[in-house]
Amino acid sequence: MPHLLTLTNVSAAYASAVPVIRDINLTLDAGELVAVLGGNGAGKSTLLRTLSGLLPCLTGRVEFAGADITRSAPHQRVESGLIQVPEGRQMLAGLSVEENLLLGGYVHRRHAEQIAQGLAEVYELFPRLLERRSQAAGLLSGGEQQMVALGRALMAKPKVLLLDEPSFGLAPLVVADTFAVIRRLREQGMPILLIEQNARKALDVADRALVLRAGQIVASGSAAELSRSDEVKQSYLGQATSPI
Amino acid sequence: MEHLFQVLFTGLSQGGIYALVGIGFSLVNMSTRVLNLAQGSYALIGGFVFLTLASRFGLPAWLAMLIGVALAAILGVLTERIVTLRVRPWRPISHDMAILTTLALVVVCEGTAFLIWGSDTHRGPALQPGVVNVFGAIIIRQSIWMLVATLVISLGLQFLLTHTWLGRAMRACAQNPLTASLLGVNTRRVGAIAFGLSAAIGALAGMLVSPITWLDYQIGGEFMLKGILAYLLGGEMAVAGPLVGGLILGLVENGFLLLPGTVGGLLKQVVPMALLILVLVWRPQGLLVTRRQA
Amino acid sequence: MSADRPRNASLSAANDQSAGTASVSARTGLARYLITRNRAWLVSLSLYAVIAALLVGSGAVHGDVVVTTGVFFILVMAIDLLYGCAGLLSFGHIGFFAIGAYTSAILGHFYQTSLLESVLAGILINGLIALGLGRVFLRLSGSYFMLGTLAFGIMVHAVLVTWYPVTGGDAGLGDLPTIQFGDLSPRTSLAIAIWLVAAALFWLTMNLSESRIGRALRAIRSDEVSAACCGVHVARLRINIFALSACYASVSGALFACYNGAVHPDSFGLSALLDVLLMLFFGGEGTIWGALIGVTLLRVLPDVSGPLQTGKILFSGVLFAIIIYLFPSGVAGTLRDWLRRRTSRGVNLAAPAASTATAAATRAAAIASDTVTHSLRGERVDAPTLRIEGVGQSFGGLRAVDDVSFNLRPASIRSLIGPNGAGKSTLLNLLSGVQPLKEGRILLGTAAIGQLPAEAIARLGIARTFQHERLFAHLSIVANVMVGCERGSDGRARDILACAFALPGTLREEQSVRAQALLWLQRLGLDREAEQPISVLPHGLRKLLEVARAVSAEPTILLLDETAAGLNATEKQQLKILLRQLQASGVSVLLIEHDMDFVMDISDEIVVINFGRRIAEGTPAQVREDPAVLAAYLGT
Repeated sequence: MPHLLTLTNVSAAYASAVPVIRDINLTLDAGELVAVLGGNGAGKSTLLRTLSGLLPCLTGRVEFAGADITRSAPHQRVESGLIQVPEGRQMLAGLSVEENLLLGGYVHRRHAEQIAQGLAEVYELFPRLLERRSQAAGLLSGGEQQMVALGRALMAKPKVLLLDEPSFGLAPLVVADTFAVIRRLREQGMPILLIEQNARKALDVADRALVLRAGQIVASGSAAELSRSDEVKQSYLGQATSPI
Repeated sequence: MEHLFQVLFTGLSQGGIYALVGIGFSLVNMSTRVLNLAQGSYALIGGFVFLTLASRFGLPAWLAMLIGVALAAILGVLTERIVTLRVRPWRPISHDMAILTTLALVVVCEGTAFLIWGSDTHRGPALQPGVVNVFGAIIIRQSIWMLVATLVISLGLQFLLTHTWLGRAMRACAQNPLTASLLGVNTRRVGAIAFGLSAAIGALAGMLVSPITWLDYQIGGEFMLKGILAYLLGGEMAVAGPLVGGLILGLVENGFLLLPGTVGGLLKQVVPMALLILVLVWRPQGLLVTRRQA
Repeated sequence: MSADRPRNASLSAANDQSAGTASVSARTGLARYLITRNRAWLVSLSLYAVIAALLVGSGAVHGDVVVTTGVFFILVMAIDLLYGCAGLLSFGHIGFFAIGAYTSAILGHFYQTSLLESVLAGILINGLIALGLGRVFLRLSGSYFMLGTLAFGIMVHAVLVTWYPVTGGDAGLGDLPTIQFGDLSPRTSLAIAIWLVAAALFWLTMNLSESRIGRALRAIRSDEVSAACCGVHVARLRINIFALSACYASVSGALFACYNGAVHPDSFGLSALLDVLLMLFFGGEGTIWGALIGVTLLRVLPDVSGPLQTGKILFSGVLFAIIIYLFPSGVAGTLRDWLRRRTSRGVNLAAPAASTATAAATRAAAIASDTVTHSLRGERVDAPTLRIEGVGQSFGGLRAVDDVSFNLRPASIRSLIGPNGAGKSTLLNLLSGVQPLKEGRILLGTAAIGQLPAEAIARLGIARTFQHERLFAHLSIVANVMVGCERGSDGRARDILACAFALPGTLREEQSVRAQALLWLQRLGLDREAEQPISVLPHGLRKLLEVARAVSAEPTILLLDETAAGLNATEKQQLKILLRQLQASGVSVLLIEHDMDFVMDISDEIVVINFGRRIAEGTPAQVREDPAVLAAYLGT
């Protein structure tokens, strides 16, 4: 059976034409949570931008749900169910919480039923947002913004969820809450590609993981294997043997 | 007293026209971040097409209006296509080049109008000729129509922006185009619709005002100036900002016509600019916006 | 304080070896510099004059065309000084042009004032208006400037039409006085006067464009924030250049009125504005001499310069649209790019081949050599302690930085680490004045600097780099470093005039700054690419170049934001050596870094922050074992 999401030899670059990520091969299957780990500047966010069509592929192919989407525009990818929660949550700061959530369901705008139901589900998942529904999203705390970002993505009824550093700039308690939600989504069978700096948290919830360094995949395997390997620790804290 | 009321009312209706041009300007700017200088040219083209069809070819006013508005809308969408010809998701628009392109368009429209209609002034047919007497003041029916149209369009747009998917998408683009596209909004199409819509509104403004302010080929620049002033005075709010800015502008301008001789005419030209400078010094963000947006 | 130190201390140290011959070589160097600097444009201008004379003599071109070319050349030059250099697109220059013309016309028509006096009057009026308008519009974002100046331009035109007792309304004003030199006819005299003025202004503008003012302006155009962090007084410089440019337009307008003997509002409308912009973009913005090409080509095209005829407006509108689209860099820009490509042949930095072992070895050798290192700094500096006390920053409901305090002691290297989004870059922005400080205090020695703008902080000797490199795209590689060396420009009128008139002092300084910058490029192994645009550089070298730009300002405190990210091993080594040298000479360094090998190796002390708060502090060894740190990085 073909994979749900397949990247074959994908390279991508910004204006400078020097590839930031090179020859990325990656698959994601139904019901699976794959974590992409790596330090800063390893190319994690570039990978996600390429996946969501904000950055063109220099080479390689991206296939999603049996279709080649290498050249699709961002909104077409969203319509096909590939939903990204961007790094830093990217609130539409001047719009209310409810409007942010509604816009999450933009691709289903012709089905009012579905939107209403989705909204109810999100409010059930995050009761806090119901209290703040008419408040401007930019005035929320970091944790509440994270809820809006996740809720907004769920409104789109994703077939695959792409999470870009959900722990970005959040207090530990909020990070723990966020990962609890991620775990719950995984248990419901939502396929997730999780880009994360917080390796231990990510490996806790992931089935498989990849380690990205300098734009290339340097290690991959099951979450259990990787949490034992030195590769991960090195990518973050440097070689333990380095002279001081 | 009646005279004052009359002048004020004329000012308001005139200001409504400025507001409509300003609203078009702000709609495009909020959806695409492009400063579309051609906003006044839609009024020019729309107005001329209307008065030609209605006066020379004898079409009924509503049909002439419809054709003019449709033509302007097409012209607006065309503007968007030209401005974003080289834009790709990873290569954003160059704002300097965009504004220069729209300036070129202003002159192209001016040149076309000059070729077709010459350098004479033309007068459009009124929707409903004649005047009414309100509390002793004599008011042209057309200016009532102008004011009504302004208010109806403003309310309609406000509703569109807050209660429809298209409006929400536009506001999302205004806040953060990147996030909007990650939510599935086709930002290019939303931009094109904004251009088309604002061109249609601009054209309507040109038609409504054509029986009162006669049109000539250079009127596009005049409309553009008034639209920009309305927009800057009111502040970066989609509808309310240019509406308030435009009405104030109209009132101020017409107020000076009360003065005798050339002084009034001169002040009418200078005071709006002085007002703008005062407002920008006192409230750089415009009259209505409370928080400055970076 | 440190800012009072002589600017070129390091250079004089470098010259110590040849102290006896230094003054002589400096003088001959200056002479050679002057010659090379002025030769190119002197030759082309004379060539232009000869061709023009031949064309007029043979009757192919009407003499009028040549004269009005001079007038519009001044006007287009004014706009290019503003847009091509500083990136400010002014639509109001048609208004300044009109005010210049009408001032001269009104004074001449009603009071028979001489041309010189009315030119001066116009300059005064326009200068004051521009200073006022600039103060209002330049405070705001770029679009306000464009719209505001556009509104101004259109308003001036409307006033010309309306104020008929004074301006003559639609009919304009005639019977203007003219000038006469000796036995020459008035028209010839005016032609000579116009071209003399145009040539003089051209000389001044070229001087400006190639001086530190020109560099500072292009730096502003490339990146305002990073220009301010180099010490460029962005606001003042922009306002002053705007006023200067308005004065040019005024001169041009007065000459225009005088030559035509009459003024008419049609010459100052929207389509006239477009014609002028057309000349600028056709010629190519950003070069000054491109203005001459553009004006000349469009003046000899009768369709554009001719009287208002059917199709003329349409023609120039369409032509403008085509040029903006197909030919955005214009004749001069295309020529410049072609020249650059020719000289850069053989230079191939972007290819991976450039980082071969030999190239890397050469670079490493250059770094280690003593000749370069002692040029870095001849003397020890005394860095004051930088104290951060209870600093905080919120964005909406988010606490980006929360009550952070620590000291940066003199001659120490301190690292600031923490996960993504922990608030590190925000803290650096507060320290460098990029964001205004609202909570807490920042003290340099005993002086509170938290409320100072970025350029003032830079001038106190605090230099910085950015997480995503922010070099000046509109400047060459060497000029990028030169902006750092000279700390931009304070933007005062005195500085602008000194540069415009190319006073010997300015030239000498220019030369020494250039030499200093070239030493830096040598150190990075980039001396052969000095004149290339930064776009030829690969990522790692750009980051190092940004460090060079910061360090060349001879700061006492250096703030580095993720500089090691994206550097290869050799380049990291290079950076490490540089930081150690700086430390040895007394500079203190604060660096944000994610490469832990690098951090642990270089730092004296480390501060760890997470979710905006300080969670640990200490030596590398202490921090490495700190449970809070392990939790922050690897999760709990």
